[in-house]
Amino acid sequence: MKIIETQNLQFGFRKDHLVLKDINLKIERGCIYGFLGPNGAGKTTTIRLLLGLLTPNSGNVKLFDKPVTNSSLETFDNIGTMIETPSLYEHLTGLDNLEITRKLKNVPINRINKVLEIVKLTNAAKTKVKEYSLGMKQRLGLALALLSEPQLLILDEPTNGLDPQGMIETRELLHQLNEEFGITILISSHLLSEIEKLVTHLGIIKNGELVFQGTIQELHHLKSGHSLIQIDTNDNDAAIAVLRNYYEINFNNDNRLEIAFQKREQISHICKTLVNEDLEIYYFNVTSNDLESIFLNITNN
Amino acid sequence: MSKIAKAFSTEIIKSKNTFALWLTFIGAAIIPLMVLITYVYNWQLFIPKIGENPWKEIFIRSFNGITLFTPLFIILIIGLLFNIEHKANSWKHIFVLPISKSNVFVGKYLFVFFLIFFYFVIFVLLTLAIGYLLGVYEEQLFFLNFTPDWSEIFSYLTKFFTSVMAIVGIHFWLSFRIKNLIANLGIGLAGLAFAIILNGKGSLTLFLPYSFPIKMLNYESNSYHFLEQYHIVSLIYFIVLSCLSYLDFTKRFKG
Repeated sequence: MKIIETQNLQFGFRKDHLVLKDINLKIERGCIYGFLGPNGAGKTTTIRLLLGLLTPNSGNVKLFDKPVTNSSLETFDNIGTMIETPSLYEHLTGLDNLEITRKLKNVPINRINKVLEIVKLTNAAKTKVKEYSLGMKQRLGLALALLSEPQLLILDEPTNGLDPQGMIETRELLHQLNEEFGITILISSHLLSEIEKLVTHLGIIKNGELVFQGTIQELHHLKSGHSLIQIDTNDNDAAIAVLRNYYEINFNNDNRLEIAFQKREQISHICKTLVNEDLEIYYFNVTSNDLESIFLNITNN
Repeated sequence: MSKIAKAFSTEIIKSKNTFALWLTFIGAAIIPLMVLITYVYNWQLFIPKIGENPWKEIFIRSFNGITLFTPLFIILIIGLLFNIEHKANSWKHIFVLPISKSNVFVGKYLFVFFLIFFYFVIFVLLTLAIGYLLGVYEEQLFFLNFTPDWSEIFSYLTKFFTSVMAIVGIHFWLSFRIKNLIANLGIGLAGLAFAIILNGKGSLTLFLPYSFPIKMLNYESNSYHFLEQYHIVSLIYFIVLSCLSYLDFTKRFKG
């Protein structure tokens, strides 16, 4: 079952300028979906459309297989959200902030202690939010999102402004929520490195268009296609002659041979082939693009 | 608990530790305190004629005070209540909670009326307390020998409340649409300044909402009709503006 599904979603703040073009998101139950894109690519706008906080020019949004409207109150019961910075009343305590959302979500009072425990804010519950650090505010935002034991968490850049330790803690917490409670998570970020260890699926948005959508394995597969071996031998023509039956070979700027490979066994095969031909290898360099480079390649064409 | 009651109860929590709550107490106390100072320093001027009820004079003076002060209080209180949401950037959170926009709107409107009602109650109780205090302070003022005319007080407050409803309607709408508190206050002050210049006179004052409370300075009740024409116009303004702002809030406002 798809928890989130959009069809040809289009949106523009002005009629003549679309900021989102034909967004077709498909997010399955139980997955952690990373929604990636550079700043200004349209991530927050897409999330606002998903939640009915903006109205699309065309296309439609379904959450839990139901269209989203202003009156999707039942649907909102199953969703926890944190869009950009958490919405917190800073003149109130953490407990008061939770109490406001608890009342409106009709959640039992004992749930407050539970979520405070989950986000490790029990000791700071009675402190005014204005005295919280940025990390504590983010965690309180998460606690608000978790109050009603949601089936879906939508988090817009939840690690923004957090220090590395805070980022790791948030990641671990989200992992735990997904593993233990089966919560589907949509998490947006502009840094792949921040979420690549967390997500199972990815959507990459650039200039308002979804340029990649798939599993993390599919992105890894894309990564393989971008890995290269650079070789220089005493006789490059002979090297080309023996390798061209197996691989596509190019020359790079330094006049070295450049071979794209998919699997690491191929590295060994290339090596053995050259040695068997008695060629002397002067230079052998494997450059494997990491996911971040792939992401940058995708978002920069 | 109904959803509206829940929305209302969250408004009470949100107002904790805010200036809005203090303003209700201080605003209601300010005029009775000024009246107290006036009486203490010039008590000889307020000795009633034989058989005259001194409560009438003290309440007329207090009413004149709140006639000028209340519109400002209303503009500020509504602006401050919405500023709590704007400052916390909380609309995006509230609108994805399982509560309808209608309930949020009504809950907030009820809380505004609750605070205004509370403000009037504190004002009347303090004026009463000050009257009794003055009676103890100076027997010749005869406050202890008479009782206030409650029907007159209730009638005045009902009419005065009706006269400010147009301002409530305007500023409730403005305050969720305009995030800048100072801008809201500026619009209100400009309206009030215009109303004070007009001094409640002329045909324009019949349509300028900020003029309606000013028209109640030194008010003497009309023996033919309970409500004057401007009270009716104020009510019409309130109903029309509330309906329009309700539609705007529920259909168009995205936070």
